[in-house]
Amino acid sequence: MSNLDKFGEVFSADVLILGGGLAGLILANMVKELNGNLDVLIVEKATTGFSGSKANKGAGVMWVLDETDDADKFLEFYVNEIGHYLEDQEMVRIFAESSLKLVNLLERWGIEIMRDENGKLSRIEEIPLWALCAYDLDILLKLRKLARKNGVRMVDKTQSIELLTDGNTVTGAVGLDITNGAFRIFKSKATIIANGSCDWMATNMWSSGRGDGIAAAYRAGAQLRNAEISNFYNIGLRGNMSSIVGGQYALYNALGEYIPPRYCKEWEPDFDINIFLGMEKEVMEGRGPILFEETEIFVKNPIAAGGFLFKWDRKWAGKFWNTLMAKEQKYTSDEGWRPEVVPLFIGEMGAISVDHSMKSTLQGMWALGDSCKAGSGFCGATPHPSRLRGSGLTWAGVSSLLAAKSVAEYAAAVPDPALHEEQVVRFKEKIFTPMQRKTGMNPREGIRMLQEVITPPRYSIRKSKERIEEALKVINRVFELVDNDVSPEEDFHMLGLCHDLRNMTCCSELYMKAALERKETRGWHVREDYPDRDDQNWRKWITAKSENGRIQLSTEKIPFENYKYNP
Amino acid sequence: MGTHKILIDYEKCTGCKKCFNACYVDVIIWDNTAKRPVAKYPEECATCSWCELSCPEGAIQVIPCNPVSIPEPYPRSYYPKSYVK
Repeated sequence: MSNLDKFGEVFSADVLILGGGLAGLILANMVKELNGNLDVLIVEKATTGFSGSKANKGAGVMWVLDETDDADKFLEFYVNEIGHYLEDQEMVRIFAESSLKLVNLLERWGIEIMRDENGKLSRIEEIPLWALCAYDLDILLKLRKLARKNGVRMVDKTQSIELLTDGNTVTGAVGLDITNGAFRIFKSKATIIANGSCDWMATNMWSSGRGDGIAAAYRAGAQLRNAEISNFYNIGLRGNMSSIVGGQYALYNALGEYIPPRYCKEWEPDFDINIFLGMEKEVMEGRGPILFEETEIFVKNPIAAGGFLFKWDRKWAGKFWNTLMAKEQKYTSDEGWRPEVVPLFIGEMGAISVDHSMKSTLQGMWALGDSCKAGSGFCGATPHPSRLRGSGLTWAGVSSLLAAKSVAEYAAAVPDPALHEEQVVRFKEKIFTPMQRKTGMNPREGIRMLQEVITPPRYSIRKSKERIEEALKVINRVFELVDNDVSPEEDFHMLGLCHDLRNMTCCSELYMKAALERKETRGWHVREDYPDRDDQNWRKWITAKSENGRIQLSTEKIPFENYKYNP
Repeated sequence: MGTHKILIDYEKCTGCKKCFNACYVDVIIWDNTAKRPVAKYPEECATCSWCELSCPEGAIQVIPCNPVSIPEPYPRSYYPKSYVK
């Protein structure tokens, strides 16, 4: 290996974790527990311990299958109501059966999971098939403290942009310090993508998920899977960005008619696609806007926001939610009785293909958490969080649990990788190319163009060939703008945003092309032009790879011979 | 359409850097000369308020701007009977 120092600051590690949110921190601590001699390095765009979208900014609830729940009953429900036979049933079962191990691990590490006086996990009792229990929102800070104690190194404010490869093996990454523009080179034996899903910066809480790791993995040659199973929605007030959890049971049309019975089952574990199709139908037929009446929500659904946020006495969650709610009350756009609600785009494109130990199709690369939830086969036909509130945290933890052993063993066994100077130089040049354009289009304008063809219901709830092709035209235009017009105006934060835009454009294309390919309606993949489920032709996964810079789609057989449930 | 406001009271701020570190979307940058935070990119603020919650001096305040600007879900061009003007 040549001396790369002249190109940037070089870091070496046995295990390189891209992303210092929940999954990255859990894996870092687990690897250190398994083998204290391994040098573990976390590279984080923000600050390790504060980053990630949900662990410290959500409700602080955690999905668990506890001792009193029945794994078979859960799986049967999941297959019929969530996965619609597109899930990897083995993955779902492993997830469910590992969730309690995650609770035990977190508690061993000093993270308090709320328990009743009798020592049982404190859960939302009304949810029949699984436990929804709680932790406090300082979880990441505690895990960071533990990681420091375990000797995990951390490089913050550094956006990882490309993966380094040697043939089919990932050998590290390169990135940019977004505060000062320093170019950084990371050499590693095992590289872990843990920097989230792509959420197109559409909705506040999910704003940090920009598809960095997914796009980098794709460009490096990794296989993606189930890219079309993306984009969950919640219900939110128009002009506000808070999810009204359970809000599907509190909706009226403009005629004052209570509409949930038309579109919802009596009990839903979380939002179903039919309520969003229903809201759109009401508007299409002239009965919009859709209005929300708060009183119904509390009696109809046990997981309604008011029902669980303050069930437990949690210092940080209390502070966080009281602050947020006070601001909403003070500044919200509509305080009237029966305010208007719209589908609130969440996103969650997480399509890196992984096996049951979270290993990708590239040697030396694993993916965790949101970056691979659909790609693992877990989601089936419902995008993350797969109608299971609290499963994001559990998936982040469980995927780390499943990966840790193979990561640690691999990193201990393989020799130091070789980095190719030519590749490092090429990536460096590419990363800084936008800086040569002193003026030009603001990357935020490009992001807005993508949002316009990804987030509205007609593109991500009810799809059609015509609209997908319309979206792809805009996506192609954004690619051109990224390459020729977008300028960071000599600002390194904005340079980072130029790369975010490039990654979001890449994820947009993958999502739309896979959605175009799946010519059926199944779960949350609704095609107006193919309204029926087609088990004959489409009980299979769509995969995507980069071939000479173009998306190559294929299909993969689902191993039903290993599964308990068949349609 | 306005944007979110992040107000920093420099009389109270002691330069502890906690808000800078707490921001997960790089909205708050660090001024190395003044040794103080600057809310440079408020249009990207996710209004999570972790900066505010982390400040021991109560020197920083996030004021969310509502309504937020999101692509119109039901434009009349696609939905002729839409109530949206």
